[in-house]
Amino acid sequence: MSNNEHDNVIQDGRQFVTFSVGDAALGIDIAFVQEINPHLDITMVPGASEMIHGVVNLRGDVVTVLDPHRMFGIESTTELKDRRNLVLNIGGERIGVLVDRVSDILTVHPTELSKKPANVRSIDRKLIDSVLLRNEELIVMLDPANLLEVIDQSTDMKKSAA
Amino acid sequence: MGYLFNSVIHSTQTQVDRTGTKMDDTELLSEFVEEAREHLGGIEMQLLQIEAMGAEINDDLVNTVFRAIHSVKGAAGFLGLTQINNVAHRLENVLGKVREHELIPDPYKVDVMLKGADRLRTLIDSIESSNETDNTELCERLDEVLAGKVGTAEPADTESAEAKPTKTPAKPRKPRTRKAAPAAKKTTRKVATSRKTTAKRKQPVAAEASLEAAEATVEQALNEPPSDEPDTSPKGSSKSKPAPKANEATSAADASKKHNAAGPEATIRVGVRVLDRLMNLAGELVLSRNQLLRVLSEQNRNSANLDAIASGLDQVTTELQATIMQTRMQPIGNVFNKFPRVIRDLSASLNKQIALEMEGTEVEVDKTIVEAIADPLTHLVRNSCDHGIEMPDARVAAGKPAIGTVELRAFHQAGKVIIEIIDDGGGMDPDRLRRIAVSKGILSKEAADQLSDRDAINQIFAPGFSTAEQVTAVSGRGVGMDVVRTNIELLGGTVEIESELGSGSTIRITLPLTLAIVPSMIVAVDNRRYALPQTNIVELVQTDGREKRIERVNRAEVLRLRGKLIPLVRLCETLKLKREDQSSECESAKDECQLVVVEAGRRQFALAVDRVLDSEEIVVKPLGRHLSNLPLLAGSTILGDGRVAMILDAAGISSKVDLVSETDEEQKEKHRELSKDQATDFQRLVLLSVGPDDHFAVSMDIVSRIERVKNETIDQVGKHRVLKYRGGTLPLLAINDVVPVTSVDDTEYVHVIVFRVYGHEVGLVAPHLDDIRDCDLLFGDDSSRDNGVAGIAVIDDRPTRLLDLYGLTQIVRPEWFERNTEAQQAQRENTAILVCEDSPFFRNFLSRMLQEEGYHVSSFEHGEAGWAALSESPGKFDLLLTDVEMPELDGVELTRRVRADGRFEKLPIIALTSLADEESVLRGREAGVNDYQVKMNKPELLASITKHTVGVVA
Repeated sequence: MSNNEHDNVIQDGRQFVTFSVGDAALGIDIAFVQEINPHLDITMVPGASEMIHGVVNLRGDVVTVLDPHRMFGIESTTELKDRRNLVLNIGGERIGVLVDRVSDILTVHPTELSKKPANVRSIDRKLIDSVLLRNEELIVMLDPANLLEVIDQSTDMKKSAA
Repeated sequence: MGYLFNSVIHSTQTQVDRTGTKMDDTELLSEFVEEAREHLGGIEMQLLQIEAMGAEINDDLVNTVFRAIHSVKGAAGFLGLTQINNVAHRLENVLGKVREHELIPDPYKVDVMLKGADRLRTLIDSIESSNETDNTELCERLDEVLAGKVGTAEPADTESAEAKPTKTPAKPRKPRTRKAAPAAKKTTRKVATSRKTTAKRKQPVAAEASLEAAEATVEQALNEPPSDEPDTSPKGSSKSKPAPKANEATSAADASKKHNAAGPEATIRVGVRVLDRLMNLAGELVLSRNQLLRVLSEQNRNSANLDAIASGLDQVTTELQATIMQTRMQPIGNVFNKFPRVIRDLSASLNKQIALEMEGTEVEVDKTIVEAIADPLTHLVRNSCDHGIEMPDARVAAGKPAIGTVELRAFHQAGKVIIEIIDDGGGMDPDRLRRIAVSKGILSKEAADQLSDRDAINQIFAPGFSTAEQVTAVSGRGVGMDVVRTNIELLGGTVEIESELGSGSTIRITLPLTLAIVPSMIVAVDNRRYALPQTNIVELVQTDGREKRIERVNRAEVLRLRGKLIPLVRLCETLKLKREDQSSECESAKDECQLVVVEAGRRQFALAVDRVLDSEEIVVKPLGRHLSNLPLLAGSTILGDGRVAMILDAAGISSKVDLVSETDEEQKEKHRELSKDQATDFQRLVLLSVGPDDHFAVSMDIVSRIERVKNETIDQVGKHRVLKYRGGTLPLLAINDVVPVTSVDDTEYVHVIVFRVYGHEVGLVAPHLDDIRDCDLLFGDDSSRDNGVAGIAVIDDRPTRLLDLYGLTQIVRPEWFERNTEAQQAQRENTAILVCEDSPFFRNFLSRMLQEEGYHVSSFEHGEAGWAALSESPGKFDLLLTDVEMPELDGVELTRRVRADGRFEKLPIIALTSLADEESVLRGREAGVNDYQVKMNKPELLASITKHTVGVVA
């Protein structure tokens, strides 16, 4: 990918960290990404929503890790030990997402981003911020704030069922 | 990252350039909030001091308050916070006049000022909406105070105070604030009086004057001013006036200085989140140190250097952690300090006179405790004021000073923090509390009578208790005290009351030093580790198949522990993960497993785990918001190896799982009540039926366990029924095989009541298990003696046959029952047993059984008769067999009496009981009982009798 040349030309660009969940290409604004870790020991939490893998020890803090495969209904393409924990910081709240692969950091001009389409696979429309077509690949950019909300809802539903 | 960096620049810029005053500039606002809070922090105490000093205005003190309000006013105006600015401005005006001595502080004026300060605090708390609030009423009141329009009838007094210095010390309304010099014992005393009683105060003047004189002498000792007697000459006292005033001023200034953070020790403001991060990092450092030390020790190097370095590192890390822990410690004074105001307001609204003393305000506690204890403490203090301290008239009539005292004390003891609330009020009447407990249905009369005075007083914590005849607005809605106790217990603490009628009460709260660190047991369930806080743990139990074993009641599992039945929860079931395969079998679904008996909210239950690992002091880490509402979990922790483990919430588990509804205690309580009225015997019975017309009962005491199996799994081998069971076969006994019945229901499942006879396990089969409960054994009619039926009673309006399992078994498997040898026969004929048993049914049952076995039996209905027979013919009896639960003289008392008599020192005594509870067993053994037996367990009883009589010369 010769994005570097592309980058140099673009001003006012947004930077996105792109990653794959199964065979889906996704991205998220770099402002929300705190760090990327290899898969750490995840401790499961009894009674938690299925969208939550569990928790990890992140330098002394216990951080929740989400399972995007369950969230989006996509099969994983890697073994657990090869996945990566994408640690997001959304308004001070930290949450991890266990993805299959982390790809490049793309610099994108706002005009390149398209509004979210009517239906992209099974991914909840709410979760999509925009989409990017680059090099004939469709990359779906996620909306982090709504990400938390969706998890909230799945947790609440469980609570009332419990 | 980038975004953070930008905002840091942004805020520094706005700090430098203060001309931008946008209301939505959150950085600036939060800074204002922080600073304003600090300014207002000590204001309450300071205003109260000002009030206490009355006309003796302490310029420095007033100045401090004035400056604080002035700063708040300025900053608020600057930031466009108009309402805050308004209120602060009015308050500042009033303070200004006080500073000029143009206004004399009195309770009313100070009250308005306090309300002003309160309002400022409230506005600052919701700063975003502060400009939309309406504070006109408060501002008007402040303005009225400013204009001197209101205030109580003090002008006469105050003027005279100016003109005639002599009057000043003797002025009735001069409660003094005594402050100990910083080096001395740290007691702060505040006297709050009702502002309505100025006229009536003439009477207590004498008391007060002497009080003042006493205070004066103490102050003299501390501060060395010239004496401050009420009747000195004008010259003398005017000389004395400035001196104590100066001393008061310095000590007041000292005290107020202590309140501001700017004391002799430099301080710095640090955000709580930063401290938490420090704690985390210290924890991580400890882990790394551990790992390093481990690796080093594994290397086979004998390097003294390396050892020294490792040990140095070890020391530093430990100290670092301890010091960081200290940063979270706060003086409990932070909580205590709001109480002078509380007491002052309460005294006013209750028309009482209450003084507050505080001791130990410097005692340090973790901030988590400080936050958590404030509410319960407030409730307790209010309670002491409301119900403890009497009205001034009542106090004087009782010979007490009119001013009641509430004392708050804090101190460390045995690794815990103790907080005491001591009042010298009317105390509590144990009898009254007993009566109330009974009338509220909390206890039966008998149980209440049996309570010690101390226990009766602590009944006040029982749910549904409220002694307030009228529910007052202050406290006493019947929900207060038990909630307080629950909340304190949730913190891992305890609370209890001691009281003496007429003298006062002491409430003692015990708390752990910190909530952040919890001593816990680590257990393994399904190869995962969990932490269980030790405050919940009652004991660890390893089943042994006898006194500690797992049984089934209906479909639930229970643990039988020394006679009690405790509901059992299999954690591997409860803690199943949603993500995993639901059908996987629990590994620990066996009968032999580790059990942890826990208590939550006064209910006990047992948790079955795979293994119990260590006991550890863990640091509680909160779970993220998506996981914080799970009822089973109380948080998480990071274990020694860096992995995360969940902390179990015992209360959450108990509420989630279907527990047997009535606890054993409640049932026992019920029949203890009933059995006091009649000479009855309560037996726990298993109620079975074969068909609609045939009901049977079996004594639960001899049942090992109850199983439920499919009828078709029962095989017939020859003329015996058996069940393939746990790798072997269990011989079965169908009721209808041995006892005549009308009809037998054919059901898919049947119940098997398993019991042991002479080392063999047998199962009694019945189609229906109706209930298991305590029944009053008025089995009068034992005449229908089909072998195997011990008697008939009416239960639930139906005739029910009590089965003698041993009799039944003997019919079906006679070969198991030993024949007595001739020698044994002869020995028994020479053995005389005295039986004391109040229930006619059992008395007959036992006598008959023993006689059939060849013994001589004399039986008596109660202890007295038995004792009479014994002492009349001391050599006659070889064994005393007595029931425990008898009216008048119970079995244990009888035993004591027998043992006390030298003639019967060696007489074997066997006590019979249907309730094999630990308490009575202990009492009995202490009294001198040789053995305890269950009434209906013939084989064991006979064995015990043999044991205690063979070889004994009659």
